[in-house]
Amino acid sequence: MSRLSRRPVPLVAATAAVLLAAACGSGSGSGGSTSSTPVSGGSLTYAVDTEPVSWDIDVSQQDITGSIQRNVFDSLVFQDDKGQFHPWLASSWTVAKDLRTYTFHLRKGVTFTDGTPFNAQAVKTNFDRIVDPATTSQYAAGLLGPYSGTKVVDAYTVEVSFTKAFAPFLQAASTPYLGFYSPAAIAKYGSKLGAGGPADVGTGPFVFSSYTKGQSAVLTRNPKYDWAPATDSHQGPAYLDKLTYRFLSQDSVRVGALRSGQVQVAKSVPPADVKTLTPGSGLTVISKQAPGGVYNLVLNASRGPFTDQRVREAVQRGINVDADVKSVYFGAYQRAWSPLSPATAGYDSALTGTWPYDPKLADRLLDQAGWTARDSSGYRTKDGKRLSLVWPLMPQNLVSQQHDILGQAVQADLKKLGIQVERPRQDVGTFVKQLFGGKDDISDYSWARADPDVLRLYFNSAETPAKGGANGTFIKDADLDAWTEQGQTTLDPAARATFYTQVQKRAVDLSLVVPMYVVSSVYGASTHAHGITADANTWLEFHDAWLGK
Amino acid sequence: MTALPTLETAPQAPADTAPRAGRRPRARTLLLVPALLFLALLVVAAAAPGLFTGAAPNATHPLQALRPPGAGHWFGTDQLGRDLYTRVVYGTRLSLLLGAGSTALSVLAGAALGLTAGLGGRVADQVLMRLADVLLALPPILLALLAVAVLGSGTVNVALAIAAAFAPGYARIVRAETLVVRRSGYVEAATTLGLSRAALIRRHVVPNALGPLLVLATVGFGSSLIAASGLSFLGLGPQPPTAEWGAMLDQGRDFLQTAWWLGIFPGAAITLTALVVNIVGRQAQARFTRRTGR
Repeated sequence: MSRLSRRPVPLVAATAAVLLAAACGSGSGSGGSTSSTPVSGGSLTYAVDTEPVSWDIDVSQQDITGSIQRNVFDSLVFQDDKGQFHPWLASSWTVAKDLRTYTFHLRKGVTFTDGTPFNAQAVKTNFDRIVDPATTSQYAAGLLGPYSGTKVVDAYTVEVSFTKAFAPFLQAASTPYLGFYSPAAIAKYGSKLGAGGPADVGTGPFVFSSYTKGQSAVLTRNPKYDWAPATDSHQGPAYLDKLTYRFLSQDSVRVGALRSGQVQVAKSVPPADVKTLTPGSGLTVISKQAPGGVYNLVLNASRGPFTDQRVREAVQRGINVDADVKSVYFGAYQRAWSPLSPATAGYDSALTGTWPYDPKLADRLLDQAGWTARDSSGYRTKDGKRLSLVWPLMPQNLVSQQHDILGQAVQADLKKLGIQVERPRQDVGTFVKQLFGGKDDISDYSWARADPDVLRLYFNSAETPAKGGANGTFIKDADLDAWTEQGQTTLDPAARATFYTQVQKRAVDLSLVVPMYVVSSVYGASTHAHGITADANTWLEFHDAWLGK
Repeated sequence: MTALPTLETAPQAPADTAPRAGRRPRARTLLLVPALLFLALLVVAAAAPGLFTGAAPNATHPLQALRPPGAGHWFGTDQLGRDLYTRVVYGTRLSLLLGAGSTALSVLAGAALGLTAGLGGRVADQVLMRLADVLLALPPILLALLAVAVLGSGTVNVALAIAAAFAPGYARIVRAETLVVRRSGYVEAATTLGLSRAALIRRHVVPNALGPLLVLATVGFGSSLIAASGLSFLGLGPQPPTAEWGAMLDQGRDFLQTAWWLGIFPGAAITLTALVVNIVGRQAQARFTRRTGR
């Protein structure tokens, strides 16, 4: 879950060229093409498909929270899509040889939008809040890993320490989840920060003006903003006066709002609609593969039939991933072979083709596992018990990307093998409780983060969902634990790749996951919206965005 | 149930029905025959869907995804290549059961409450009817949503939720009927003749008060069916991949521009069924009114 880059990935190729020309050739007169010059002002509305459950960046594990709050909160550093780190709120930093201490020299003159200064104490207050158990952080605490404390060296120097070597920290520090609240806001609102709105005070290019649950979040320009990363195409305040997020969970409604001009940008355009958005209609599409964890079916190895690896492997090999993904997404998404996205460093391309669809093998494995009898509905049984798996569904407004439909394809595949898959619809509270308690057989999620350390969240035994990790497999495997931890102990990309390659192979060999498809963000945008960029995390950036005629 | 014969022994003569015997009943009758035929077809489809289609409702065929209607797939196929005609046919049972089950439940609950209010004395009457007034002030679908929020989603809970939402309306009607019957001449006569209170309620009040209710329930079935489909459309009904019209309509919602058949056929099934049930219900109501003058 990070944003690695502010490097522009322009929505419109033509705009890209124009922007590039503008960026390179300042003062050349630009031949009367007024549309190439960014103009300040205007209001842009962006329709997104899900809504934050908590707005608190220190608490939430949702992509949507991070992607919206990115506009409100800055980070110490940012990472471009080549993996390089650049100064942001930290103007420079040093990393101790043992990778246990990171020293940041903070940029001076940065202020929160409540007027208070951003300084070393603010860093300490925020990081300490994240690891405080009372915060109940579901993600940020995991990003801080073996955090031991922050030391205020002077007003603009901090030392962040860890109990052991922690290589992924710079990347973690670039995510909005390790962004900074005004300490005054933390003191005043504390646990109420999750409610969103003006209480959420950061240093970012936009101010969180208002939030209406179920409808919209309104951000307005921070007129004092003057500390964008150098890679942004302009410095100073954002061009837009106002940036409104509209929560429209229905795909057809979002696309309809884009077509009718009610919104200028729409997230998650369904693959079936992609071909209908053409420049001729004043609309365009951008698609980008997300780094991090792909959309995986995560098999809970700690419970019921899945304690037997043969049953897990039968499920892994008995799902027709190729055909299912193709038919649900019309070929817009690439099927996955590894739990890690090809857009992430350390991706193991050698896994491609190593676990093809093989229903006969799946049948044999289930027979060997003792699920030989069949009941009247055609499902396999053992000792009179039906081979039944529980895979709960979130409330409908939280289901995105047709995952419920893809789930039905999986159900049908597994029914052919004699496996029943139950999909009770649960409210959020029940859903989370079941998942955290390891009470589900299958869970399904992707996890956007531009670092292979995301594999630690998926497979390290310490990273259970209740602790902010993503280890819905509940596996305790010495190798997986060792490799995911060793990956944190070095900054050498080659050495890290070795560890993470092993992790990916082992996870697939143990049939802990069924990687389904590589998550790609598909956005629709009006051709009047310029300068909108997608970061390496595929989240849209609005600091450089402006509206043309 | 002996509602009608009992009614005919009532001392009051039925009101003159002559002004009502115009052309309208005939038009109704014309529609009644096809409506009854369609209803019969629905019942057969619900009881034995295998008679109408040889395919399995949940069998996926990814290579045949999103085929438009045509030979082989009369209603086309969905995203997973499932035959939509088969799914509509198999969806009949659950959709009808949800409509009928929730109607039966709400009629039962409404009757119990209405009779209690009508016969239970002033206090019971005031309490129950004020409660009904409050509930009637809210649209039934809103009440049903509230009930599902409390009960949780699922087929049985949706039926219960709809029953709870429609029950106050029935309770009100039953109470009114009960009061009318209770004050009628034949009941007074029976009382004079020394019939016990229990026997009076059993033999005269209940059958006479429930007659109109059953007719109303037929009409109400259509509303329940639509409400059930609505809840299911919102993802609160049966769990996937169960074929159910409301849930199928929901699935088709995002494809109205690209694959219209996904939404049209389940939607038409809901609409036609509700229409047909209404035609039959109105006809029954009209006949009942003609016979009783009420």
